[in-house]
Amino acid sequence: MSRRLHCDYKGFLLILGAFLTLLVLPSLAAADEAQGYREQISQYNQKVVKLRASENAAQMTADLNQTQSWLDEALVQVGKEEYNAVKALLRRAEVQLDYIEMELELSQMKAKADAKEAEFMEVQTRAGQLSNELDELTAKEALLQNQVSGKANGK
Amino acid sequence: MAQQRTLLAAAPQWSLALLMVLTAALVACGPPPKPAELQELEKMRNDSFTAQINTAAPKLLEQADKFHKMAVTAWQEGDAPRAADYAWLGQLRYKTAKSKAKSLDEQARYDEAAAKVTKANQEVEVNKLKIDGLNKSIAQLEQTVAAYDQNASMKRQSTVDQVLLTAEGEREKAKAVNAAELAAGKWNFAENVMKLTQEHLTAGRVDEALKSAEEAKVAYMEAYAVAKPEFDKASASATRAEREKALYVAASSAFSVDALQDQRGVVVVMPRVFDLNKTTVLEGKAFMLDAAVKIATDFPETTVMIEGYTQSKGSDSKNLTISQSRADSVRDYLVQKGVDPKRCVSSGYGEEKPRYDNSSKDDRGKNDRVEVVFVMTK
Repeated sequence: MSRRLHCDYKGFLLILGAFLTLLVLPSLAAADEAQGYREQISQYNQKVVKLRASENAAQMTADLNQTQSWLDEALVQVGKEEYNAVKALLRRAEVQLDYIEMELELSQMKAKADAKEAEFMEVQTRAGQLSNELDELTAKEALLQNQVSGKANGK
Repeated sequence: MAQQRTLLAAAPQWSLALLMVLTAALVACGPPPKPAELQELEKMRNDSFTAQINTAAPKLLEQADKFHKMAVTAWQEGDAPRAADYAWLGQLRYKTAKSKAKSLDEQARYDEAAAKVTKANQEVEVNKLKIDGLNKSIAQLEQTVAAYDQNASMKRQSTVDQVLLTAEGEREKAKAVNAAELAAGKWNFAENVMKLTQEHLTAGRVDEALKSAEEAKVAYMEAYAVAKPEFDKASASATRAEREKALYVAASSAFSVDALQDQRGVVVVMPRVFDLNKTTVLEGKAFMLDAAVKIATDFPETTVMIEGYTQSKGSDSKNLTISQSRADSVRDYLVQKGVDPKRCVSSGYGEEKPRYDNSSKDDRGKNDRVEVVFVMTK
């Protein structure tokens, strides 16, 4: 009798353990997924902050604000465990952030190229001035050489 | 039959209705209208820029194409919102790729400009070096020219100094003949030109100074030429008596004894200038001859007659010879000291015309004498 009871007790514990495992694991997995999304949202937020601080960011303010709103919404959806919506929002944010980053890079590169071309124009102008100065000095030198040889010959 | 006719008459309307029903069924079963986002993405993909993007950002273009496919699939499945969402993502990817391509273009533009800047800077540096070299060369040449000019200026200055000296000499000559009064016009002109010369010199106008100094010199010469005859004439008529008087005073002063005056002129007696029977002037008596030289120089209008005498001792002929030699000796002395020989006449008279008593031992020696007679000729 007692032996039977002992076997029943062990079986009960096994069933309980299996039940608890089935009950806890999904919620643990769900917790990991939410944490992963939060971290991704945090990374994107940091990127938004970084892009806002970069040169010429003003021209992308609307896009940055829109991205920020998607990230805020994604965080809300994480709280609601609406992970499909979160994924869609994060995908938008990622693509949008890449675009903003590239636009700003283009803008900076364009400004850099413009500045370099302006520098070239300045240097070219300076080179032209020096070239003119060189011509004038060469002519002056020739004139003086003529004067010297004339005076040496007693003219 | 009638029923059949009625049915046949209504056939077209049925066909139309059937066609409409079939069309509606087809429309309802087919995909919904293509979303605007998808249309826009496809328009972008046909952009002429695509080839360039494919080279510059192939991965991004690939992702855009992937989103396009997903959008088309969603549209075909009738899920228009999902299709629009994917199409929008595709658009963004495409725009990102385009920006990347443009950014590479800008990078190339920057690199090209940077290369040009480097080249132009090298040109600038080379030109700067050349300019430095030229400036040094020019500075040396300018120094050389300045040295030549200074040398030429010094030569001109020297010439001016010479001309000025000559002009000053001419001025003194003109002044000596009283040109200021006798040739006032020419004199004043010369003086003004001389003043102008000084002004030119002070201002460093050497060439002008040279020219005006020459002009002044000529003007003084002309003033002298005009004044000289007048001056000579006036001097000759107005001052002969005064000059004779001055000659007498000068002779008396020079010899420390009163000179004598006779009808010929002023006579200076120099006793005991020679030893007995000698023709060499005693060393201690040379001062008397120097005094005669001075008077002859100060009174150039005179003729100088030198007369030799002896005491009565000795033969007449010997005394005559000695007296001539003594007179010649004094004449030679005067000529040697610069008196014009044409003005000097020497004569020996021996023991004739004694001035002292030959019978007195003390006085007899004084007759060994020379007398110099200054005769006014004008």
